Amino acid sequence: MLSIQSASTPRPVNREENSTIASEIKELLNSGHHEDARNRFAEIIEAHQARITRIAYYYLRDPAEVDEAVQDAFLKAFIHLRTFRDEMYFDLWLSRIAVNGCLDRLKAKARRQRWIIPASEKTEELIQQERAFEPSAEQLLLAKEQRGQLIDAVEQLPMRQRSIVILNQFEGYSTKDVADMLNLAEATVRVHLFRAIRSLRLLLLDKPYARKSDVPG
Amino acid sequence: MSTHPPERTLVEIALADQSSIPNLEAHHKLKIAQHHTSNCNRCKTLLSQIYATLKRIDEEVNTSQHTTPALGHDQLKQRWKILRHIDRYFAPRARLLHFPSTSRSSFGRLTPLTVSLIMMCAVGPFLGIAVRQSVVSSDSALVTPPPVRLERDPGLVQSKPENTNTLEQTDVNSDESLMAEIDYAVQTPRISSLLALDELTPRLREVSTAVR
Repeated sequence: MLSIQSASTPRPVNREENSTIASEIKELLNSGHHEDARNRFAEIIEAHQARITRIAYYYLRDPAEVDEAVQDAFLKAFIHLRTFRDEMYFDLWLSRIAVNGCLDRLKAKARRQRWIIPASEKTEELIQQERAFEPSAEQLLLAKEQRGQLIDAVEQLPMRQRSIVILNQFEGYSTKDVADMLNLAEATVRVHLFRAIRSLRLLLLDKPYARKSDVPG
Repeated sequence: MSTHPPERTLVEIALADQSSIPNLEAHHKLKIAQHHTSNCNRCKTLLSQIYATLKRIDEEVNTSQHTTPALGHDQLKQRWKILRHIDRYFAPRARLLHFPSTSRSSFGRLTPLTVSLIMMCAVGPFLGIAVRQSVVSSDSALVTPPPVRLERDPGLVQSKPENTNTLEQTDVNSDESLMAEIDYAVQTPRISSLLALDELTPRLREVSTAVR
């Protein structure tokens, strides 16, 4: 079976090392050395924070909610670290927690929106909050055009396809890793991936950004 | 010319660079599809669109490393928040004090000994007042017998108007009346219970015997 890996890979760093640290923290927790476990976990947070934040952002698109989701994911990981199985890589396990947390938040948001009349304008507070997280006006201008259409298209995908695109294509996990994370068969992941790419192609077909020169050779 | 390969195969061709070593059969299938695509405008266009899509994804990945708004968060602050949550998780749980819902429930938690002590403390003052009242009334009965009882002695009652003129007669009468009072008091059954008290104050008995 082919294992498809993303071309540009923000690969998880030092998988074995992180898994070893996680196992050590688990031991510390089991032996009641909470303070030491907490301090070791700070290393884990530092190593995975950007990646988990990025994953959460692809799902949630709201800086405040992303912040909460990331905090939740790490806290859950720490609390349930005793149940972490050594045969699985820690970064996959942590990503699974983050993805599940994001999916729960999206479901909750969808439920809320059924009962809430959408506001026509954002409140001043929200605008200020978003401005605070924006890197710069120049960066936004450059990135906005490139990303907006693609992100919109990804958001239109069914949830499972969306997860697979985010984890495989955006985050660089192989189809096997994604299968482990989402608790699916690898073949299923591949089928969803092909469908997702086809959907994205169709969604982006009329957008001017696609060029024929992109075809190699 | 061979038939058009399905889009899935074209996607596999596009993703082939990212795939690990394929098996021989899959590799052969991809080669045939690639050969077809190079000679077929329809498939070439389709493949170019797939490449374009994947390229945009790659660009998004590269851009997101620097421009994801959520990454603008102060990561140190976020880390500190997470660690604080963990500290709270390990902190001893605060004890919740229940507001007493009814007085009965709090009273029910007391031991019987405590309850009896409280009852005694509550009733004690009233008992004390009652006893004091009875003692005072007994003393007053001892010192000044009720006039009704004095009227039982007709001699005394009749002698009062006769002995109001002279001082001597008044003294004798008063002595007589005092003696009568003392006799009455000593013979009264209520006084017998206070004999112990009487012993402590023997003056009355001495006076009575001296007068006799």
